[in-house]
Amino acid sequence: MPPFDPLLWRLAGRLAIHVAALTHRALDIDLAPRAVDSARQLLDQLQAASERGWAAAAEHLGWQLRTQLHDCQSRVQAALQSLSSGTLLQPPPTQRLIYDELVAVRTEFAEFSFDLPDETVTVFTDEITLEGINLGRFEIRLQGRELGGTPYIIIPESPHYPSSRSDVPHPHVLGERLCEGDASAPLAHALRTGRFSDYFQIIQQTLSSYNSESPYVSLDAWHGADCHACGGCVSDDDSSYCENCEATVCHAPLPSDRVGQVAVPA
Amino acid sequence: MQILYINNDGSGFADHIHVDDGTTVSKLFTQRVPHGHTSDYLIRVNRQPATSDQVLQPGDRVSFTPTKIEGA
Repeated sequence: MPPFDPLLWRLAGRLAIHVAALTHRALDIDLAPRAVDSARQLLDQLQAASERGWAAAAEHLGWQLRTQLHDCQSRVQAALQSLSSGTLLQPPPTQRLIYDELVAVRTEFAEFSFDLPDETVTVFTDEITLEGINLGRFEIRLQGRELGGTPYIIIPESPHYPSSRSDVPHPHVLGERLCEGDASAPLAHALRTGRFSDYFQIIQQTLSSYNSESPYVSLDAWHGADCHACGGCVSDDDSSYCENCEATVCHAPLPSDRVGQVAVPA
Repeated sequence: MQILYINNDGSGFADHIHVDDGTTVSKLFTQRVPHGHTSDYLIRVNRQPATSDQVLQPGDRVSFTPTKIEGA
């Protein structure tokens, strides 16, 4: 058993107060009717684009609709979780339990630190490689004072951004926010019951997984798209999408030896 | 005997359950996640990695966390 850490104990006490506030708010359920209305509007627009044969617009609207529906799904899952049996009116976790959880986090992760005045807990993931693309390590920073809002942020140690965007360090991270997807409900549950070791583990496993259905930037396009004309790899800034041939083409002129050898989209 | 069983799959689950004396980690897994494979989960007993043949004790805290959780 590791030696008793009085500073970590004090942090556990402060986190216990914040978690208790969450427990008392468990029935503040937000079904977000506006999110459903937004999804309905996007669906109407998608149908209109589909009827007109606007492939690029339909693709973009489809992506927006998937994101919106995931948001609705997360809210419904969170509501279901709030109402699940065995969690209603449970006593909040004790300082002792949260201390044990933090000790487990320190054991589980190679790098662990905390800041008592800021009430933050920080761990680093291992190197994350998804489908052969190395994304580096990520810092997961729990913000004790923000448990009811943005409980944690994700910070890349050495960002490996895609060629098209500098605000997506991971296919499912925009800025410092993880789009939780399937992790949303278990994260909410773990937080409300003070299970911080599970909480950090769920975030790490989500960062270590790839959902090709709804990334901010697809891993296929992480290093840019292939130009239909010259075959080179190009970023979004240096290319355009041709709706007629449904392909990406770069803005660079063709090499002289290839002029007339490829069908350049109009 | 009673144990605290935690499953971080789906919507999450954490509650005290009753298991037979002598229940091992793998037996509990088969009972609770009948269509799953242990290799797809991080399995912890009292917050420590556990072997499949570990026999559970009264008051143990057992958690199953999927290794693959899809973000959106």
